[in-house]
Amino acid sequence: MIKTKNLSFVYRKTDEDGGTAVEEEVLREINLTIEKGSFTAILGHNGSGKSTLAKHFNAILLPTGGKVYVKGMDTTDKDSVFNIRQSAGMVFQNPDNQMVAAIVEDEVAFAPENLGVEPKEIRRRVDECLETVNMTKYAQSAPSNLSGGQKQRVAIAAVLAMNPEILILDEPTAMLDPKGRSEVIKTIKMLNREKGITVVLITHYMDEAALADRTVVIDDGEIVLDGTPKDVFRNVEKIKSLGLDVPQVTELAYELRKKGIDISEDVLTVDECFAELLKILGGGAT
Amino acid sequence: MLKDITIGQYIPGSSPLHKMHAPLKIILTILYITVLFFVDSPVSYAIFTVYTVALVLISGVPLKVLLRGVKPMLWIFIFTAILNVFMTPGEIIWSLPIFRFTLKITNEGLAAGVTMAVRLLYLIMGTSLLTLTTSPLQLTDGIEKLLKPLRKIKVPSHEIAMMMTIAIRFIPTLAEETDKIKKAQTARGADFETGNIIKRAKAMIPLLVPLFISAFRRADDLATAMEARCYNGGDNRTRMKESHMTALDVKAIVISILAAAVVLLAEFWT
Amino acid sequence: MIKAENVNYIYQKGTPFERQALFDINLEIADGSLVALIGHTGSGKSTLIQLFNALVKPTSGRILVDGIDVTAQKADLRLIRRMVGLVFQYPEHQLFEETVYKDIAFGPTNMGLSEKEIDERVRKSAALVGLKEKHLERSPFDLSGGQKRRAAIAGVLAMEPKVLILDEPTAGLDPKGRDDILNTIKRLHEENSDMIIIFVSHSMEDVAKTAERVIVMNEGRIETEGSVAEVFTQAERLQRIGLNVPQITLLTDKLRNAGFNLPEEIYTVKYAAKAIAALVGGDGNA
Repeated sequence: MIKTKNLSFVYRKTDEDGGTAVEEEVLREINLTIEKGSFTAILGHNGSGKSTLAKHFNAILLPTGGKVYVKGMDTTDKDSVFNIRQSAGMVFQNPDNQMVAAIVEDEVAFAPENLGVEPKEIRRRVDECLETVNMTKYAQSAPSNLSGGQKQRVAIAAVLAMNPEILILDEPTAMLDPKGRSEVIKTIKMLNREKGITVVLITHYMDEAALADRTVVIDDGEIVLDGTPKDVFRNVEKIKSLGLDVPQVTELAYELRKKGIDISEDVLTVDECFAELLKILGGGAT
Repeated sequence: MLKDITIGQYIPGSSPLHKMHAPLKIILTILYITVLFFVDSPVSYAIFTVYTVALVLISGVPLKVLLRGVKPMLWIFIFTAILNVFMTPGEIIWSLPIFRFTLKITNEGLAAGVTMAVRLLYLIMGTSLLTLTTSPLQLTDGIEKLLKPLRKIKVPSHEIAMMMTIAIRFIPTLAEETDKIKKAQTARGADFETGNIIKRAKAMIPLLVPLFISAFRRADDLATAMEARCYNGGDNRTRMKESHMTALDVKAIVISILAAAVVLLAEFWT
Repeated sequence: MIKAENVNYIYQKGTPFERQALFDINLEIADGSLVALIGHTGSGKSTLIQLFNALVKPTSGRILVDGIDVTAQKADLRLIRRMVGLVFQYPEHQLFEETVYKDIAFGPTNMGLSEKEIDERVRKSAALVGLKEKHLERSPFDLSGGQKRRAAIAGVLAMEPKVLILDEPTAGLDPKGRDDILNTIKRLHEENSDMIIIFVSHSMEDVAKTAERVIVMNEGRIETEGSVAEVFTQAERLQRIGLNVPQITLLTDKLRNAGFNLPEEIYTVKYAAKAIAALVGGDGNA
């Protein structure tokens, strides 16, 4: 679906101490392949390059070195730009700053209108996409009257209206409260599992990364860990040293192993940890 | 404050006014305003009032909402009315000499003051009725359509409409933000309420600078988000809500022209 | 000391949007406390903190800060704002001066202090939040996200308030930025033995790591309050009102329900590891 080949990105910025322009290498030789239908989380702290990487997946940014292919199309090929953006839809962090229209359904219609879709078909897509994210009730509302979670679901619907095969979400929950976060994550999971949409989720929340099929950890513009969430999070020390969190129970298992207790390192959830502990503690006390 | 501005506030509904073709509605609103400026005699005012009241009733927009839009303009009303009351020469009914100057109220002045206030009230009600029954998107689409012939002389009709859409969308967001920054600076001891004009203008800096920075950040984000959804200007764009003229619109044209004719006849023939 | 007596607040009273945001709030916060205020969006916590420094006035009831009635009709607002420092959510959005130094000096300048005193306060508060001398002469807009936020907090600290209130100080930060801010809060607490610090949070993990006391708000009322241990033992209740309870709390709850004897006040990973290790060792089994 998405393939990067030695992707590098250099960006000019002002220096930390003075004001002179320096070149900063934000991404270094990234080689990454995202499979069709997969749910990949890209985890990293602010400034690790994860958002820059995401913006390469739909030709918002173009590589300064190497190549990015989306469905086989080269993102530097000017004729493919709109095809790429239609195939790989992108949702951004700030729910307020990505809405163009003053009414929810007009917002969802914006992308297909840009693509020149027939009015009747736009109507159908708008209704269907609002239904998908469970926002039909709010079709006539103004975005400013919605909660953060609802706004992000509208933003997702507004991208789905292009019929994309890939959904890229750049920290969609960073500005939301816990309720909004869980609404959005539930929606994303459903889109992947039920609609077969390939999902790339950029995040710094480990609990979201733990829900994915695959977690890619980025630090200083390079991929440092890549695998299933269990494979990745068992590197407790390493992840913490990168300024990221691991699930509390994973850390607990790690601490217990340090104390000489033989507990599996593959625990991510409370239930898994509980089951493991029962094995060790002998199936429950009386 | 900003929250009270009714222009851009849309009240969804299914009245004939809501269903009208937006470009036509704009033209008829312009007609309404034009006629309003010819109205002067009591008879034509009466007819015009009946017409306006009928429009309000048909629209189904609560009177309360309509009057909310008038409220921020109240001081303009009072100012114009007073200016007219005191400045119009004619038959003096009350006077007060102040030094070399005499403050006087005339019959004609009183009439002019009332006329001016009523005219302004109807002007705001008419335009509010347009924005309250037309969704912002329909409104800007309507303007885009009306401006389209001007594209030939390089008037960027689509861009103007897009700018208006975005402005309408961001008014509530920026109003909220203004309120937030104001509170934050107040908590740091900023004083927006007291002092002379220069002091107050200076006190606005801690409010305006963050507001501008935030507006630029939002603009940057929005541009990226629009680009990501394949926005490419007005060419080859379609519309979900393609509206066309219907029998209803023909009726509206006939009724509006008739009403305008009756009012103008009453004005110039009596 | 902060004391709230029968405080009610009705939002937009007399309009169609009228809504009661706070119901009969009574509470006391002792000098030198480090208190977390938690609750989901709309629980009334943001309203409550704005009452504390008289940005909004209660519909009924009163609030005393150090014996001064901040809700009185003729309250001295300048004095109150000096006493109660309020750091809003995303405080970096209020930065406006050319340099970090000038921005931090804004509050003390408004207080009418001498230049020498302002200078001392700026340097002191910058150091308290971990900003270096070299940062002071820089434009606030050239700092990183976390640094900007710390500069904004320094701007409030420079007013040397007796009460420091922070509304969701970690919102939108990555784990490292979050830990920096939480550690700053802890350090402020340690170095200012009289200062009351109140921080609003959605995250029970942050609360567990940082606070001493917890006030839980729900639908305009105080749901429960107490020490962190006291509040965290009510996991079910917290979940019922829509708060995300940390994994460790859930796990220890489960173990306890299964009949294992664990101390009640476990809420950190390290402590849990110790207690569970003790169980495995055989001496904790019921």
